[in-house]
Amino acid sequence: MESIHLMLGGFEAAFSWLNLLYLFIGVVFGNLVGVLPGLGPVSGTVLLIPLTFKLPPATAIIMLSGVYYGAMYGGSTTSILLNIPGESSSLMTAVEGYQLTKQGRAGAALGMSAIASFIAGTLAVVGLMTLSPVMAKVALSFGPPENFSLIFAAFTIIASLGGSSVLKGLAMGALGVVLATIGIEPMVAQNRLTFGLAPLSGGISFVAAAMGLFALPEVFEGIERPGRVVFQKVALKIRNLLPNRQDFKDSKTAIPMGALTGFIGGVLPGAGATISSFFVYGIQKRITKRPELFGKGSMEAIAAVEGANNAASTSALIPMLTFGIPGSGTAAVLMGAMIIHGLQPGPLLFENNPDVVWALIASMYLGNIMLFILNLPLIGIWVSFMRLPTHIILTGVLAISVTGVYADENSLGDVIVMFGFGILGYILKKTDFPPAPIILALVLTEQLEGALHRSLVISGGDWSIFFTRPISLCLLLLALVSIILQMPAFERWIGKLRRLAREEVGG
Amino acid sequence: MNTEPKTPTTGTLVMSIVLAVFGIFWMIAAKNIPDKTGFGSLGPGFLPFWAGVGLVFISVALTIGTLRAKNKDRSIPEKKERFFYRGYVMVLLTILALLIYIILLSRLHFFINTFLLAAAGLALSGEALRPRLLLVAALISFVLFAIFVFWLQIPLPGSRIFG
Repeated sequence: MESIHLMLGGFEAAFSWLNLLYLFIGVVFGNLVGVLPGLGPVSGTVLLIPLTFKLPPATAIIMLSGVYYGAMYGGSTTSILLNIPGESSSLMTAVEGYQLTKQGRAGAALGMSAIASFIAGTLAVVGLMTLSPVMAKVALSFGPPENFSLIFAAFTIIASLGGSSVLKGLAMGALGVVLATIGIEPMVAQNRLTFGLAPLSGGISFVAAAMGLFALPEVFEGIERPGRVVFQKVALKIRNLLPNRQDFKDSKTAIPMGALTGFIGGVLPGAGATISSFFVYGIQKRITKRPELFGKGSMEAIAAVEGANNAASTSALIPMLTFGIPGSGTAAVLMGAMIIHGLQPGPLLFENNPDVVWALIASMYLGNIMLFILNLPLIGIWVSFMRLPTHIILTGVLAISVTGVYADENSLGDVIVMFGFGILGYILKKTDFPPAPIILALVLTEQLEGALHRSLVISGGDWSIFFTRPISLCLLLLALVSIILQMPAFERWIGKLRRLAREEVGG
Repeated sequence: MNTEPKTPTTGTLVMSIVLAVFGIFWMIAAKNIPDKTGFGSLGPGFLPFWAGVGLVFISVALTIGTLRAKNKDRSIPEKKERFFYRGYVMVLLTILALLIYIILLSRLHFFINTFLLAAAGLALSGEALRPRLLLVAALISFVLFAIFVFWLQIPLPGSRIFG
């Protein structure tokens, strides 16, 4: 009953003109970010953070999360029309959608993508609304040892953000923790590891680091390898934007499957929209009644994949809001933005700032509706944007990055820090090291250290407190299992077992 | 048999060694932090020290793993990338332009400084040296000025003359 009352309050806040305006800006910008290859939801969200400095916290977070799920809608546009995935989670949409474009059914594919995204996204918001208060209550029962173990487990799952290499992900996580210890020690506010440099006395600015790691490397890489999307004309008539009856019949299981897979994938830290989209594609291919269409233009596949990536982008906010553990790079950036606005993601967020949380959840319903209405009519405009020379877009990104970072604290030091992170980010890109774990670590390390200190104060310096409390022990074991499962040696061992099993069966 | 050239591992090798060295540096720096807290071994140097240890440990493991992968099947060559090719030179010039922008940030009016940066960025990324380059650079600078100073009312260097 209380949740319904809070939800109604959330809708009331979400329907304010200010929140509606900034929600609109966020989803439209996110849609554009999704369309433009090279600019992902992470860099898109980072670019908008400076525009939120003067906004109320709820409005700021509503806009920034709009960018996140807006990008999922936008990612399908170039995937279907040009065979260029706007986002990594739209790769399978490109595989299937472009085939449909060649068959003259681009409009129907775009329509199905929008419909699946809307339905799955809305279902995911219902899940978010239902699960979050429950998980927040569970998280409230966590003490400092459980919090420490939870964050430590999150760090190990960070390794899965390392793409193909677990060790690279862990190395970047460790580097992030190292960099996060620069500045002020949280327990007694003692300065440390600043090496006498004034810009570092307050620690590493989150905005500077995020801009440097995500936005600048895109600019540098675009300058290193200039290119332009080759555009082919596609006839798009509004009456062609609706899938036919057979398409809907084929997709009736695909959309719920996508929603469920994406929702679960988004909640699990490290899984996310991309893995969910590949996973549901594989599942749908096995259960479909028309497997011959997969790879040749399957509307059902598009429905499943787009449903999954939209649901995942919504449910990824659950661990962030309830436990204070961001499950993806974008969620980490959102979490950083919340902290900048004086909000502390985690179980206490529901107690201390229920107005912000419920306004955010309510706005996600509205955001999905906005995107559903706007996505298709805006396609012509987005495709025009793709005609813009890339270097103009990149120069704009460069200029807004430096301006935005300066605008945060009017500090030249932050711009210098951003510059340093920009060079680091570019080097990481060239050497295939993932930057997302660094941001995750920058956001989580202060909590980790605080939880560690408090735990040892409670236990009088006895480290066994982490192993004698059941939840804490389970989380630490989870961390260990997570590392082992991701190790190449383990995968080789599993492969060997499978081969032996096949030989036995065959023999 | 796979005869495709292997993805270069030199970058990973160099990075992992650099990270290991940085980790060692960090451990030493952390050990030298004066402890004004009285928490003893749990003082301000605790987490930085062990983070450094973790970084060193992981970097060494990565180095060993990379060397093993590099030496595996030596008959397959690695893809070669030139170090100084035009692309990298352009990036270096962009970094230089950004550095000059930062140096001039508190000296020149924001609009002029951003205009110069945008013009440099456009030129380096391939825009031909025509009036259009100046026009686009001016437009970018103006839009940013309008957004931050007029809309968001955030002061930028040199913008105080506009109130």
